[in-house]
Amino acid sequence: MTKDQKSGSMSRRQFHRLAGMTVAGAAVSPTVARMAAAATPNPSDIIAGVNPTMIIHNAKLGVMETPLTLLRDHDITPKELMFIRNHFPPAGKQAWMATTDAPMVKEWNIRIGGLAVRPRTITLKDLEGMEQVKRVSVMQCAGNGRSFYAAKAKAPGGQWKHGGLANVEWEGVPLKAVLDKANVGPSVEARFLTANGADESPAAKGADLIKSYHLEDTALDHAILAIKLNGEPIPAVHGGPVRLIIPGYYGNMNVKFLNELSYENMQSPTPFQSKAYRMVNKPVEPGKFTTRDYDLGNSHPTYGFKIMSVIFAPLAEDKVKAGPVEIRGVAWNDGTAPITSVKVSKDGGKSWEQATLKLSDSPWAWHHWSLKTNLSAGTHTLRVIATDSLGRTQPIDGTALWNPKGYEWNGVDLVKVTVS
Amino acid sequence: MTPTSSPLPLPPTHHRTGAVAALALATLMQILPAGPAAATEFNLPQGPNRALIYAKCRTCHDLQYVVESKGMNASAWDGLIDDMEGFGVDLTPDERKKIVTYLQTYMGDTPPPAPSATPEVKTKVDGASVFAENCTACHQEDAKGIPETFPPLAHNSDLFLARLFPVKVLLNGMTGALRIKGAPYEGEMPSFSHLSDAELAAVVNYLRQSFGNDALATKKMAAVTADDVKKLRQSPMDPEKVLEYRASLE
Repeated sequence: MTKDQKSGSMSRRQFHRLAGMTVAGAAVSPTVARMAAAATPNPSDIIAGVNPTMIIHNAKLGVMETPLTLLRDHDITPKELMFIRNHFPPAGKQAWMATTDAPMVKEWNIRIGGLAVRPRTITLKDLEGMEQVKRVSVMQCAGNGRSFYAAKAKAPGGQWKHGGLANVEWEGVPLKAVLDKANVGPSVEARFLTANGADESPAAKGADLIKSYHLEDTALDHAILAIKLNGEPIPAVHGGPVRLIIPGYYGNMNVKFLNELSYENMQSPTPFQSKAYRMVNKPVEPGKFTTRDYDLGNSHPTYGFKIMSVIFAPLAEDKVKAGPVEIRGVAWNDGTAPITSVKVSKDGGKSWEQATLKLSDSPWAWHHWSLKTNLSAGTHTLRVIATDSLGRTQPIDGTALWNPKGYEWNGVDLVKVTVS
Repeated sequence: MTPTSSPLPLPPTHHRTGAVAALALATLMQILPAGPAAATEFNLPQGPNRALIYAKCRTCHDLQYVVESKGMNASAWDGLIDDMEGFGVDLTPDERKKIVTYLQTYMGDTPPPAPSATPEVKTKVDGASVFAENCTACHQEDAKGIPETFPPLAHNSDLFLARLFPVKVLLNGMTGALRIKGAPYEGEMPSFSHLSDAELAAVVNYLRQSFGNDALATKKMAAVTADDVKKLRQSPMDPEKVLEYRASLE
């Protein structure tokens, strides 16, 4: 038995070997089903350095989420457990995307221009020479929790559970300090700052992933041009060598492989800005509003995180003994107001108990909560709901915010545990 | 080495575990539609125009996104293809219609028709059509490819490296650091083993005679037959090994 088989998985190479053989109408037996479960590609063969139990959503792109059973073990998510969602590799740098090792980069340029009188380029070296700040913040895919919308109507793409989520420490130079230093002289017509990365679609007519932000957006006050993740150079799979980090904003807004910032009088026409990664302004119904119906007027980019809380323990996978139990997890929001309350239900939402909330030092980090209580033998439905000082809270039924692309899920979490 | 000999040994585990492994794979695709799998190897339900999904969607992502989206209603699939056209998939109106119909029928929110016992078989196979339908999303209609991403199939002497080399690429895919005449190409060639033996043979023969390739033949090579393809299916290779095999021929 190879090492890969021992780890309950197999190498990509082995998988391809099996995949080349097809048998029509194969019978399904429990034995075969067990083998099939083992015959999955090993995530660490797709991206060297990631935990082999990561859950793959797209092997070609290296898209994978983190099992909560591992995510819960760390306050700061280590890079081997950090979810990965990439669209395309940086041009000519496919090899960067096959490892969590940071790319060896000697030179990296970021052009700053657009509607500016003195466009110029700043370099990675320039950034390294400036005063560094840290941002401990949640990184979350806009599609995190998408699978739960299927209770109302299936939304397209990777069916993420809660594992498109991480809490990490970024380090770099404040965006405003970079713009001040560059001093490119933005035109009075400039209304947006647009960020572009080095990634490129392989399709001949492929769209570029570009994001635009209102210049007056106060989230930009806290944004940094990050060059480190958890104290080390940023792996390319997480956006290195330079990633724009806007704490509290959904993942796609944090442009990877950043190589261009430009002042514009309108937001980028790319469909990644105008059609994709947008949240509808008002609730819509499946069948009546589809992905093609988005426009700039009826929707907005997936900006800040909706307030959310997740149960880390106990999970359905855990063996729970009757008696004293600690129910615990994390809660987070966009960092603009403190979370003030986390309540837990053991009876599916009929009654609620206040959990103990330990606020993190960083407003953009996740905050741990716990409730010491008793669980009797039998099945229990655990739920958790968070509220912040602005009164923002979570819908009991998250599908109330159903949207065609399945973004910004923040329904009250639900975990069924069996206690023996 | 004669042109028809198998240049590589079978994977060592093939004979011992092949049947069981194939069962496991078939089962995986049936029972774990949302589960992980390697790029390019998803076994979509048999149905008209199924190959168009393999042909057009894998330029950017593997088919796990399609599989995980199974269960979307008809209007959602229709709207989604608009989205994908915005992102860059280039479809004729006819191709668009066929793709949407396939997805709505076999990946929709209503039970699909009972699978037919045998895959769709085209009565007449024509290499030019196979190329146009299956290869152009990446290699382009003029077969000139995309610099640094997808190699040209025009004026490509790879087609003559060995008589069956192109068939091995088509059946298994080819991944790794490909360089042709010194130029790197980073796109991943997926497997096209979902196409029939006759289709794969036809497209190889077509390409060898088209896009200026006929002038590159260094020696007379017999046309590839469906039977050649059928035999090669019995000897699957890792896509990385196909690239190593290519290096051995250069």
